[in-house]
Amino acid sequence: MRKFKVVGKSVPKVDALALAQGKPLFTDDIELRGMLHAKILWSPHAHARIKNIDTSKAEALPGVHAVLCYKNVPRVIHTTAGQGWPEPSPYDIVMFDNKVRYVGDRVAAVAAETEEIAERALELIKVEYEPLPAVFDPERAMDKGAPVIHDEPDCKYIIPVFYDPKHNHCAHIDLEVGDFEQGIKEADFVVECKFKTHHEQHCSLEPHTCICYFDPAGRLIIRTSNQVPFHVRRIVAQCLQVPERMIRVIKPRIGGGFGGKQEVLIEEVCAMLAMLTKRPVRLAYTREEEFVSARVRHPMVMWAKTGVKKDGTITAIQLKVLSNAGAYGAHAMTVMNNTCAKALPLFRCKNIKWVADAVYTNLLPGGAYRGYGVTQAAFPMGVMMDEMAEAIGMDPVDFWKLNTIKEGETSPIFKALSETGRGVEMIVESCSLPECIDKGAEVFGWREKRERYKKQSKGPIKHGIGMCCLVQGGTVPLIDMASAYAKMNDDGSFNLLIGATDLGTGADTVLSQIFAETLDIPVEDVIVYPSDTDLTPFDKGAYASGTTYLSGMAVLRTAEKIREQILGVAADILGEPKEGLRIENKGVVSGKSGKRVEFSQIIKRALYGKDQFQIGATASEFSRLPPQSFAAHFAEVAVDTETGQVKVLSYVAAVDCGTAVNPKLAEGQAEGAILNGISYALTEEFIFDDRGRVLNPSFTDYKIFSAPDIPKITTILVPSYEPTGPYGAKTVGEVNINGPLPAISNAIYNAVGIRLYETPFTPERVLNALKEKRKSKIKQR
Amino acid sequence: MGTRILLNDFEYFEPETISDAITILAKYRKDAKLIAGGTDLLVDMKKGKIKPKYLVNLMKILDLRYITKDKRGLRIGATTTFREITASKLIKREYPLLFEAAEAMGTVQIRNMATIGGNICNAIPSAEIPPALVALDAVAKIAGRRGERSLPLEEFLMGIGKIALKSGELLTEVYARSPPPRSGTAFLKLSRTTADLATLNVAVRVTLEKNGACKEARVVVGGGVGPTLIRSKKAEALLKGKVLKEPLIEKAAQAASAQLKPRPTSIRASPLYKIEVCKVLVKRALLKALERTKAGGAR
Ligand SMILES: Cc1cc2nc3c(=O)[nH]c(=O)nc-3n(C[C@H](O)[C@H](O)[C@H](O)COP(=O)(O)OP(=O)(O)OC[C@H]3O[C@@H](n4cnc5c(N)ncnc54)[C@H](O)[C@@H]3O)c2cc1C
Repeated sequence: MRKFKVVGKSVPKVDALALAQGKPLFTDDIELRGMLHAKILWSPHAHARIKNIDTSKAEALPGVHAVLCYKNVPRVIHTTAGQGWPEPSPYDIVMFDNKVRYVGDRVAAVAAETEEIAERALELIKVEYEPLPAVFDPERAMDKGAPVIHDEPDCKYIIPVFYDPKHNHCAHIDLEVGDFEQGIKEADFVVECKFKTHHEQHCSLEPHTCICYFDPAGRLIIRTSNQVPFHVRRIVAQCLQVPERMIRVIKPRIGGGFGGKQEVLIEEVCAMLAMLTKRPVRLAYTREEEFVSARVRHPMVMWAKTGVKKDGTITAIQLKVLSNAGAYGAHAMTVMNNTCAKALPLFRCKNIKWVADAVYTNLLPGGAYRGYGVTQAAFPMGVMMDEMAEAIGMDPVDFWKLNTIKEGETSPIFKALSETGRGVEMIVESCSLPECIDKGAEVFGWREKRERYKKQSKGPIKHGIGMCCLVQGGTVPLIDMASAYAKMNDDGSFNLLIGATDLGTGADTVLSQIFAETLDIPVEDVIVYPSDTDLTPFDKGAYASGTTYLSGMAVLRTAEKIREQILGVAADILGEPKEGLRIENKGVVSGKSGKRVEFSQIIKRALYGKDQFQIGATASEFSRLPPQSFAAHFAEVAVDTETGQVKVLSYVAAVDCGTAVNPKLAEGQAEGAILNGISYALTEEFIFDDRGRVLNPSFTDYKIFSAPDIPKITTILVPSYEPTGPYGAKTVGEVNINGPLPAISNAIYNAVGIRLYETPFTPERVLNALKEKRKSKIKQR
Repeated sequence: MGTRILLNDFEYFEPETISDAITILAKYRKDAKLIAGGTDLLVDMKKGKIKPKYLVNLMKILDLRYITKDKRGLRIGATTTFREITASKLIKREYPLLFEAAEAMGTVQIRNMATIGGNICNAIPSAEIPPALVALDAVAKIAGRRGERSLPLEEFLMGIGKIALKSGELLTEVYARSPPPRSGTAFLKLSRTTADLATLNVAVRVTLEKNGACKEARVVVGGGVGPTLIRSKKAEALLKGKVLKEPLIEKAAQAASAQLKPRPTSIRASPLYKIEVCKVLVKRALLKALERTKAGGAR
């Protein structure tokens, strides 16, 4: 492994200063002359046909410029999922339909001089609904006689996969590697449990925001807070039925996405309003709209069954998954697939069976959410591991270590399935998980605490610890592509143009570091410009943890091509063969003669001197395999047995993300994900009434952790070297959000002997479980 | 919820004296609304729950912002902020119950803005400071066109959003009785996160006779357990005159919890849970208060 100059250093984020100074960087920070404001009318019904809409009064209101509804907008069936083409999500949504499928579904939209006028106009729209029976429980959605949510004839997948909307059946896949039943027969102990996970909102600080306007040539500019600008261009062009060349998408700074913005949620409406009115149009969600009409983490019901031998060998794993897609199927199949494809390769087991369904219900549509299915599957699997370890009397640390994949090994799952369906065979070429487990356990004080908490104090507060291991494959193999372009300037600095999308994650910084490392220049000499479909080359966007790994490789290749050009010019200047030259500290040095020529001299020669040309290059990279990032998580909790309150006292995460290109930013990714995960495990919860309405669409009532709630989180980066990644880097965006559910559940069990199979672990649920335990104990006696 | 910060237009006043404020209130009556820290009012205005035509800011009236003590108790001006309460050495030392309640309230940012008067007058059942004040037999001082009057805080709080102010009146002060010797107090709050309203809060005071028996007790429960806080006189009666032992304290806690009437639609927890956990919190609070009487009578 070579020594790095820029990679591996916690250089400050390239955008940090401007952000800290409050510069106008975000979508909504501009004000255009004549800009109109758009507002959307939401369905009050969970399921209803729209018999008629009368928009005449709204249209007549002074200041209103356009009103959209199913009557005046072409019906283009598509998916809002911001995925590669052909999208692995069903085409089951149109901009405006004559049917609504959940409370918060889109009914109409208005563009007006001010937001106030737009809001008043919404009140003037008369909608005649014919309410239909609704179904909310995913376990009832496929029942005979259940209301059919997608009865429109044109809904379909555009790839060949199972789809049966007449039975609300949005996706189905099953697979078996080895022989599950045989594995169960070989087991000494068999564990079987049912699990449930709940809805979750992304709660990005910046809500969905979009401003559309026309450039002097009449092309539509979409300035939007989105994770997938290139997919936005494609999908908006599709919805508006205009060629892609008419559209330019610009992504400014973003205030968080977490998957919620891997979606074309508002851009097409905003664009349509701009087209109709020929005026700039702004559309921004309120916080309430984020809760009632955006996307959520798919809730799932899961049944797990596993077999284990006394010596610790896992003989069989079965995971059955029922995913609640909600009203529309964006990401439904791919999230579902990840409960196997990206979650199960962690386990060394020959016999694995997986059966998965996703169903439509009349609740909020699921979407992409950091973790993307792995979060859901990691919960049952993490708890099952704890149960198996207990059954055979082995310490969880030893059991996990024994049963998790190692460097040089493979899993039959890799070949059997990927996120989109077809798998790729691969060997895990980098894995420091065993060291993660050891280091994490040591820093956490696992063995000592496990001993200590065997004897609990007399009072109502009990302590416990739990652990789990995690994996998350990065990128969608064989589909995802990223690219970059760079050129050299007069002074030897470079413009780096990347399609990659920094959501606040620090991608611009990390990619600049990779570029700077390759050309041996300081980060200051890299002027990075991201995510503009006119100016930057294509990138799949920010998802599947792929930016550092995949866009990083594209940047590295770009820099390598430029290096060759630089060496070529230098060879000409020095009159020496290129082969003996090397790049060093903003110059080129000859190994033979020791002569040196500066970058600034080289570029001046290229631009002005002789055989002039622009030193510059573009390169791209596609994902050949999903690099596997790992983590070992340890949680320490205090459980109040009289109130049911669970407090996380300390949390340790040992993380293998390959080379951490920027350790501070990698730690930030880990800590943010863990905090998000703890908050999801303990307090975040959607509350619906029996008509499918969200009762708590605000931060007053939907509780996310804030600064004073944060427990002590320790992140340990345990390096490995991924040969297919830039300078050994893998991915770090998602893996750590998957730990808190199982780690905390296991810790609660260690503290008070109750297993929580349903999330979140609210005081009430804990208290009820404690009561059940007491009851069953009395029964046993 | 609207996009705008405030839904309606209004006229805005900044009176500098109590009497000027009263004059404005008397003139515009139902159309006028007082604003102190605004941490409740502005949220309600944004939601469109209330649409005042006239807003009267109290924060420029210097005479409403003070913490002083006299022989029998503590006077807190209505626009005193929570931050000022938690920063007061006097309160921390002599009225730890108020300190604990104030500190349990909201977040730093909210405590910097929020006032004690607003917390009382907004009259939501989960408010933090009223239970603590009722446990100290606090009295609300009211000013209006016809002069001043006062009312026990318990009577001042009449229900969700309901207080005993007549049109043209405002709350000027709360007066808390200084805890008698051999008193101990405790405040406990249960909430989902730090910045959450109370699922349940409990304020208690026990005052002992020289012989150690309970001379007087206050048991007050808040947190959406009824239209307003609940003072459990039943629990207090059980304790009075007795030597406080754990079984008796448990009985008192049981009695207090039996009086709860939480709304079935509560978002923060089910009624059953509140009733169950009330027993725990009251018991813990009483034991803590008792412990504190022993620790040299510090309250
Ligand atoms: C994020 C957040 C967290 C919060 N957390 C908590 C918490 O943990 N515990 C808690 O109890 N509260 C909490 N609150 C609610 C609120 O902060 C408190 O109730 C606060 O004390 C209100 O005081 P204020 O000065 O801001 O009142 P304002 O909003 O200014 O006024 C509230 C009401 O009281 C009336 N009013 C104010 N002063 C007077 C007066 N002198 N005479 C007559 N009427 C008057 C106003 O007209 C208005 O109706 C929270 C609020 C927010 C936004």
